[in-house]
Formats: sequence, C-alpha cells, structure tokens
Amino acid sequence: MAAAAVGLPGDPVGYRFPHPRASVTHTGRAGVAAVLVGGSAAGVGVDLEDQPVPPAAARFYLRDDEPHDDLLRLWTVKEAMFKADPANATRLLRDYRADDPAYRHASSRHLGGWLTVAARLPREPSGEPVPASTITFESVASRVAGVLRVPESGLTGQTKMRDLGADSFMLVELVIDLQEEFDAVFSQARLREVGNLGELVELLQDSAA
Amino acid sequence: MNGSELTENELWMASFYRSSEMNGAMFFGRVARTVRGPLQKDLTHHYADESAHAYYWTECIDELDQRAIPMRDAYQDRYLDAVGVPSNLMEVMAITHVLEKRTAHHYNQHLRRADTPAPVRATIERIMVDERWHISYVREALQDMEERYGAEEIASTLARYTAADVEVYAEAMAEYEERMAEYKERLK
Repeated sequence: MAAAAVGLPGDPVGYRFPHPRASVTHTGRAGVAAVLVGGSAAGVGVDLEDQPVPPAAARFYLRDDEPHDDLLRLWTVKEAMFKADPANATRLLRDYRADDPAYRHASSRHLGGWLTVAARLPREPSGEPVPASTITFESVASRVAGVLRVPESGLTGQTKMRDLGADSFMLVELVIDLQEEFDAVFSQARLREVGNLGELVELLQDSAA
Repeated sequence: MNGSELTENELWMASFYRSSEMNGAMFFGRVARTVRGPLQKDLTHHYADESAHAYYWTECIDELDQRAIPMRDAYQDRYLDAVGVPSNLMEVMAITHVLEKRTAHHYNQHLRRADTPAPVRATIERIMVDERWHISYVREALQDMEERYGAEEIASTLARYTAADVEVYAEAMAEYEERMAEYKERLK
C-alpha cells in the first residue's frame, strides 16, 4: 500500500534491493515497509527486530569503539543503514557507524522490540540523486569506499591514496572497477601522478570515453 | 606414501609453487569480480584454475606424506614490486601474458629433471594443460583490445613487462641459488 501510494509497484517481489526509494522488513508478527516520498535522499532502509541479541553477536555489527549497550536497537540501526546504502554490495554491518553524518535514522519501540528507519543523505545538500554513471566526487568516493571497505563519510578530495591502506591487489581491483564503471582508460603515467582522491576524480573525468 | 619423498629443496619449491598459485587466485579473484565485459567468464575460469592448482600442489605434497611450508612469498609480488600496479585492464592482461609464459617455461624446465618425483611430474603436467589455455585466451583478449588501447601501446607494454620479467626472474633465481643449485645441475 505504501509503495502504491507513491507510484511504485505494489508487489515488492519484483524489487531489487537496495532500492532507491523503498525498503521492507518483517518479523514473525509484523511487517513494515518504508518508502521515500520526494526529497533528495539517496536511499531508505527499515529494520524491525523483536528477539534479544546475544552479547557475543555484537562483534558482527558493532565496531570496537562504539557503545555496546542497547544492542537490539543498534542492530536495527546498522541493518537500516545497510539497507539505505545504495552501494552496500561489498559492505558489512561493521562498516557503518551509527553516528555517521551521511545518514539520518530514528528508532522507536515496537511490539517489544525496536523499529529503525534510516535515510542515506546526498553529499551535496541541494543536489539531486546522483546517477551511478555520473563522474562526481560522490560517485567515485562511493566506489572507493565499497572496494577498499573504508567509511565513505571520511573521504574527501584531499584524502591521500597512500592513506587508504590498500595493498597492490586492492589497488588493481580499484582501478579496474573505476574504469569499468565509468568507461574510462587510465595510463600508468597519469595514474602515477594521482596523489589524492580529488586528483583521482579529475583523472576519471579526463579519461572517460 | 608411495615410496618417494621430496627433498628439502623440492618441498620448498613445491610450497613456493603452491603459494604463487594461491596468490594468482587472489589476484584473479579481485579482477574477475570487478570486470563487467566479455572477459568476465574467462577471468573467473582463470581464477578457479589458479585455486585448483594450489590444491593440486597441496594434494601432491600430501600424497608424499609431507606438508607444504607455509609461506607468504610469491613470484607475482616480486613482479608487481618491479613494474608497479597495472593501471588498466589491458595492462592486467599483458602482465598475465608475460607471467603465464614464464610459468609455462619454468614448469617445462622442471619437467626436464629426470629424477622429478612422479607426483610432482603428474602435478606439473596436469597444470600445464590449463597454462596453455591461459596463454591462448589472454593472447586473444589482447588482440581484441587493440581497438580500445592501440596495437602499438599493447606491444610496447608487453615489451616493457617482458624486460622486467627477465630481470625479476634472474633476481629470483640468484636469490635462491643455493636451492636451485641441485636443480640447475640436473638440467645439464
């Protein structure tokens, strides 16, 4: 019903997730759907959990420096953020931080458990959703974060390539991924000149077909 | 146990081959899961082959009732250190072409040893079937890339990597002179 109300197909079976405008969750007792209505958010995620989480399971979704209380609520936060991330294919729940400014989320008690809705915000406050094929800092940073498994929110144009902690195989995967995604061709001479992410974006823009 | 046993140096070599095949699998795994175009299938096949080869070496050593020496060293690491990270898919395939030819050459040299234990011989011959296909599909892929990257650029890249390979291989052989002394002596 929620989907139909905003013009999306009513049957979620045909959806591919992460979907840019819709997310669903369910337990044995309830199901919840969330859809984006207008706005410029890049994705939405919703999660409902009503069973206790064993403390030992926290290591699968909480980083060492995050609070380890309120485990059930934090699980729904991480799940909702993961679902809201359009580039989550290579991410783990631990890759997300509950306080990441690139996301907004809200939680409430529901049927004895927790329900959280999260939205992935666009990097540019006034920007429209960015098509995946457009070469912008946002789209490049998203792929860099996905391949190298680093928090996207910490990436800036001044982030140095050598600080990304990538070994030679990871760098190969990254340069191939970027060229495949944006239909570009790098030369080794130009690639050697790249010192930070801003320069990598410029190289992609110059090298695209 | 089948009556033969690897010498200390043979065990080291078999373990080094195993480590290099594992490294190759990890490299091609990363490329195969990234590439979108027509090479996706062949690169995934290549990744699977390298994994299988690592298993063949493990199986071979196990058959001789021995255990592979755990090591992180692999030929590809030395090579990438020398030539730098490949900057595009053509360079990945060019490096692969050079390394596959080197591997085939080296395995052939090993087969020339008259006293190579039967399981080692069988393992190399089993792997060589795949190596021939690797060289073939990579060569064809490079030909198909001529329009996008330019035939001259591909030729000069291959020449650059081949020159680097000669140096890296010579350095590796020199470094392992002691281990290879027995091997070289038997080739005479």
